[in-house]
Amino acid sequence: MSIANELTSKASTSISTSTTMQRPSENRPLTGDATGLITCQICESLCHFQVNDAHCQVCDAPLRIRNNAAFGKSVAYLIAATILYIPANLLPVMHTETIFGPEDDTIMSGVVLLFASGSWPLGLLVFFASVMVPLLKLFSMSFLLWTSWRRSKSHPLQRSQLFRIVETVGRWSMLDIYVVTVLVALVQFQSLASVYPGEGAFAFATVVVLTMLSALNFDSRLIWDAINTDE
Amino acid sequence: MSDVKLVVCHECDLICHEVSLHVGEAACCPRCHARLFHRNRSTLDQTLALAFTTAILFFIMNTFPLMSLHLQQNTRETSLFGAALAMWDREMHVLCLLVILTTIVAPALQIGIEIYILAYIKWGTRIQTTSLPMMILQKLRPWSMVEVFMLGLLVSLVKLKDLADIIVGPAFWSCAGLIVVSAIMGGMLTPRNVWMWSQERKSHVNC
Repeated sequence: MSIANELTSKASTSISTSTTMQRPSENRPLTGDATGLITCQICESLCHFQVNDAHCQVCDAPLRIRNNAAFGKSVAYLIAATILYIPANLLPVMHTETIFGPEDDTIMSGVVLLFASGSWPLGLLVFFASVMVPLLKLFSMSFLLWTSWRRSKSHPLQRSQLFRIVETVGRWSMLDIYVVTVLVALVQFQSLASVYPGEGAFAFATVVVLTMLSALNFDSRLIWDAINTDE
Repeated sequence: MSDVKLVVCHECDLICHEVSLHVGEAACCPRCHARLFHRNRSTLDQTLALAFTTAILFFIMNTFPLMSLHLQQNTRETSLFGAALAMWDREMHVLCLLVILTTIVAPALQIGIEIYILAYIKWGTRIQTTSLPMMILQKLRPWSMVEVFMLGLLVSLVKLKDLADIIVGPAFWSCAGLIVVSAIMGGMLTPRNVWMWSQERKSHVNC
């Protein structure tokens, strides 16, 4: 408790000095980066950080300060995901052998099949999870990375909200992988009907994991940096 | 409660004044609308009880069959681990490992660490603040995908319903239960609550 008190008093002094020093641009929002303050993500106490020593003074957890390498990583994962997105959609994710003959299913043909068999609510669900979400993630992440690299100042709130959607919705693309897993495990009736996984499933799973890694490495504070350091 | 009156938004880096909240309220960043923290009425005992519930449900989910399929005279049933192993048998080693990692290893670690944190605060003799388990928990959260797997199960159920008779196993229902209970517990086991509980216990021990 005493540490927390001390930190608060330290924090308030540093803020008052920084506001008086930066008088010329009064509209400039007060940020953690400008004042050297950050809230620990583990114990939620307010901490001072130095570039070479970024550990929480209360619980000793590493603080999440800006990491220049993370932006590059995010870009790299995104590029890899974009490349793999092509085989993920062209190669079959599932190979079915029934008495009516063999059949290859890609992501898209699986969705079409669901629509054709009359279960359109499910078709819609799988369409969203397997087609829309990966596309949305690829486009949104490139847009977010591009605009924050260009230090764009327009619509930061909307971009922040877009990133939040990408973060929460991303993992649901794994849906198709699990469907293939369950079908492969259950439908094994030799000559009657058998399901085998296809190469597309591997590519698709990799796309999901890579886009998740890209989103995890993206620092949403970059969206606001152009506004924070105005003029 | 802590005495800190300022919060730095973790999503846009704005320094915000901390406000005191009523139970059930959440504080959001005025600039980027990120949720900074929320307050709920949960106690340590409640959360611990839910943590044990998730452990039991997770155990059932992994030991009993998920579903079985009847086609003419043939019957095939699968458990969660068996489903992943079927991928290994079809030369899809990476996918097998990915499925095991996201549906078995990550949730198991998550539940284990949650119980460890809570039990440590409740019964631990040397109360010290350990940040490592909470850090692992935060890193693990996006990779634990039981709810996605559940939806995958439902989709495959519908896909198979015309082909054969399906019998849903106990693991299916415990999987459904696990999602609900762990979602409730996720809202209770916040860094703020854990910190508050360990401070309470610390002051209780010192008195």
